[in-house]
Amino acid sequence: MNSTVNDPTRSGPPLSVASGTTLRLSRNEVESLCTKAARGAGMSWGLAEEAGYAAGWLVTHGLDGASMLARHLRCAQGKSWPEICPVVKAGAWLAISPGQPLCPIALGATLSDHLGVDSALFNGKGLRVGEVSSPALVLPFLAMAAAQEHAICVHHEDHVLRIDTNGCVSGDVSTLLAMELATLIIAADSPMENNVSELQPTPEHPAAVAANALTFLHELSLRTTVPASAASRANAGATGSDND
Amino acid sequence: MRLDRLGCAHPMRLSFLRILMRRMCQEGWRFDRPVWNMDSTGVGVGVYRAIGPERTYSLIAFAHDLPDEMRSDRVIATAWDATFTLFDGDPTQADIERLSHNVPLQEAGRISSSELSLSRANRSVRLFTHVVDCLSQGRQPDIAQIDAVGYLMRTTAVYGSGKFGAADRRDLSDRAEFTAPFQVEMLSVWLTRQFVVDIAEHIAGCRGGKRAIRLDPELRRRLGVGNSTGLGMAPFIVRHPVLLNNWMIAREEALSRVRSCDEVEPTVLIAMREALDQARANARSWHSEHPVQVPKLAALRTDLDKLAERLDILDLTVFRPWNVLWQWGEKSLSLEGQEALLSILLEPHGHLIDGLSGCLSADESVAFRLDGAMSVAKLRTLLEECYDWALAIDFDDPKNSARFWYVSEEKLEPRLGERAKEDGADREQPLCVARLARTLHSTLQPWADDTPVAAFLLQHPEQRFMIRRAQMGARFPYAEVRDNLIAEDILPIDLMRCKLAFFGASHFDPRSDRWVRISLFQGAPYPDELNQELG
Repeated sequence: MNSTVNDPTRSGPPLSVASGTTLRLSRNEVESLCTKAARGAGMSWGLAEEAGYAAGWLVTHGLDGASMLARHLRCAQGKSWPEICPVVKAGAWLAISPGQPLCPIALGATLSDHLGVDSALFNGKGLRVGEVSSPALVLPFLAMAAAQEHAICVHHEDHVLRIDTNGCVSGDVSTLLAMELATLIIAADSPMENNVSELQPTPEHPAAVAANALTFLHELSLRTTVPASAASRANAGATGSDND
Repeated sequence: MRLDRLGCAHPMRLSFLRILMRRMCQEGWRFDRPVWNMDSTGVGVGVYRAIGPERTYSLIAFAHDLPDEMRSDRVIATAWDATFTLFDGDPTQADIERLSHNVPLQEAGRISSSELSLSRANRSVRLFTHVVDCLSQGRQPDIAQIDAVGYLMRTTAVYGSGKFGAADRRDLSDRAEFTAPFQVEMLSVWLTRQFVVDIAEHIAGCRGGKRAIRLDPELRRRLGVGNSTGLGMAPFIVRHPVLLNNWMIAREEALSRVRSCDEVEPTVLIAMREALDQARANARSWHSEHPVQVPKLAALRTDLDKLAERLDILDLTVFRPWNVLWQWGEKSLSLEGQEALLSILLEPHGHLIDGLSGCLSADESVAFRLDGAMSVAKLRTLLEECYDWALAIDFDDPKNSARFWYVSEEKLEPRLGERAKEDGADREQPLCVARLARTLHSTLQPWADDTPVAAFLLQHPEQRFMIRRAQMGARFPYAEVRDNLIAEDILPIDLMRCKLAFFGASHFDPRSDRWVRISLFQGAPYPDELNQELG
């Protein structure tokens, strides 16, 4: 049994772990950190919440969504909304100019917004979207869309993956995960039976997050905070001593 | 849902610590202390187990030797008198060893999904010293000193739900014992209360040897766990609109059920009088020197006297006597008195309202997806109907936007700044819902009625936050605190009191407009007393 005197004056290690290693955060922490980081990178608060949702969904499906978001934000931080949002036209949602990839969070949120507006959004030949950066980050929005409407299939180059109304994701997920940029075709799919999901929900064991991504997300999140000042410190606590 | 009423909230039957105590009594939980490894100065580790019908939870308590000059309640502190974690199950020696390297560091340490909470406590030096001195010399401490402070230790933070690697609340929500909010935190604090008495008796025993005695159970009951809370708690109820809605609906539904009782049973009247007596005793032992709280306390004491007189002459043969009493209270009592009356009215009606404790949690994900198909006209109407209180505020008047909420880089804690004097308003947190609602409303003005919100958002992505919020506000009638949270005269302690009353906190004692001391579990039984009751 431990009976070592715990030295209460010892200062703690920094939260971030050594480069090249990983740290397991709870879903709550991932959502919170990614929301703040996305805001720090220039997203509006409402869109930043969507980024937190997406990263949280991915880590509870065994994927390091925080690192995916970090990778995306590294390239996209500071870009204006018109540069990253899709130009919405029937059958194809494309970037405003070639070589200017869509933000997967802006694309995912816009897809989600339009579900009830255009019930035939994914019908026929489907909706072509792209080019989108870190396309795996769109998956959580497609899972939400499938739960709202009907099964969805996503074509990327010669690969196909399917998302069922219960969130079951089957088909070629790994190719999508590896892609930094992709043009996707999203189409309505018929319901499937007995599909084995490639992504198992693992709410109690969220995927670990890479240390370098964590460090970067922390840096971004600090941009939502205000540096210390004497006035700030003075206003933060009680007016008297805490020793009573 | 105005701040002045929320700032008068009292603990009641549906408060979270009461729900925990009821469940543990009804289910016959057992408690023990399998580990107590303390040296003569009171430094070491103790483990307290709460053994429920299906699962066991263990509070692991690390006791430290803290120099006086390092004792601070602020989040900026780096050391405490004691640190704790609630462990999911029975910890092994390896678990305790691992946690001994992390729990004492608090925010700077790391816990895992086997742990459910992380907390720390500081002594009330004055009372702790007095109690230890007395017990070590073989006499009981002075009751007046016990009542003047009310606790031996106060927690300065109790972290739950996924903080610092702990298990996420969502992953525990299928456990019956955690369906009500903050049950993990309440269990942790209740077991902490036992530890605090044990450590005081332990130190007294080491010092006094055979002369030392244990604390009289009657005196012990008078001690709660203190809690010292800053602004960190205030934004919570703004950030969790669906949860706040569910708490308030349960409260309103409970009151409505009691007011709707056609007649009053004599036993209920007796229990009501007992509840009133308890409220009066509580008001007598409630001290504060804060200029806001002093007149409120005076009004409360007067109101409770008035209520006692009223209860004596209340005609119980009228239809719905409690409704008559409530309506009298609305006309005759201060807000403090009215909120106390609510708490007293609910107390003898457990059979009518305790079932509502299952309605207090919220699955916030159900309200997350924004309805992009809603028309601009509908959104505008919704704002005018549900946010009329916000649209009426003139934010061009500097006193209506005098403050701003932000997070400090230094300690990552929420703070409230002066817009005209301090830097940082460009990094304002979106907590001023009133102003956001007004901005959204004016941004919508030039848009055609039949435009879907999805199209509006393509042009105005910055409105996404408030649109989601407004759509929630329309579905959940108690989601919003209907006041301007950046006004010059905002009292953040009002937000804190609302939440703390739902926790079950008593003796609300503001130390500034943004810092408050409270007491938890004062008067409640201890684990050994529940064991005894169960034989």
